[in-house]
Amino acid sequence: MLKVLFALLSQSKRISLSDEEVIVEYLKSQNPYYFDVLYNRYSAKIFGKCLTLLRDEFKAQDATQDIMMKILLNLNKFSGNSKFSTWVYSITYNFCIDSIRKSKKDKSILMDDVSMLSDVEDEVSDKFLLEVKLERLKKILDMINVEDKSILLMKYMDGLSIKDIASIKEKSESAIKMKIKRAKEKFMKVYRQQYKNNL
Amino acid sequence: MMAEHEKNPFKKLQQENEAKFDLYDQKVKQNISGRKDLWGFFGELIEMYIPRILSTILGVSPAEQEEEKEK
Repeated sequence: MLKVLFALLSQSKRISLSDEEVIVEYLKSQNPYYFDVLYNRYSAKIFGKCLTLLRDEFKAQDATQDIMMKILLNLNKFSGNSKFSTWVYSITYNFCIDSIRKSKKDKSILMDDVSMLSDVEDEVSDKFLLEVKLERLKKILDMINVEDKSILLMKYMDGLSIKDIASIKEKSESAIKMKIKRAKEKFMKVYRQQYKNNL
Repeated sequence: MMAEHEKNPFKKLQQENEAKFDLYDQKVKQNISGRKDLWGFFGELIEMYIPRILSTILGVSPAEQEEEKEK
């Protein structure tokens, strides 16, 4: 009985550890339990992002496995300069973008040719993007290229700061601000084209 | 009042996709565990055989290498 109680207490202590503390414990002990804690915290989130970017559940499953392995093998390289979640998202986005580029199946790149679409005169507001209906959002995200999509997801899905996005994309903060602006404009152009009669 | 994640369609999309992971969770866990074991196995193989391979290439037995070191 006491043994069970001790195990439960010990487990609850482990669960209450921050990501960074879990990593330290894992690197110190190599106890797989600590990796399982990270797996339980992040695997579904990684899968969700992979599914949005890759648009295929089986590909998202394979990508989640590869990304979790990458995280496991590189845990000792996590410097702690950013939050662990930001580091995980960085690996996830970069993995999916590389995978799409390699397969050259990003048909949405066709949508880069936005000259045929109407121009967006005004700056697209955050309010507009945050009030788009879910089904419409899915459709438009599937039609814009992966670079623009990933920028929008980092900002509006993950709520990452400009500084964090800049660090993930290895660009300056001003370049990221410009990329966000352009991604929003492309989103709006495609949106207007798709729903011109029902804005 | 609606919570932010209930209103924000991006967060709704993420939640919807995360929920689909239940179908794949066990398989992903098993595959990762298998790959971890495989890595461990190769790690041990390398640890065991690299010194022998190196000594064969260099033409010196591990015991001779030890002797050289002691000298």
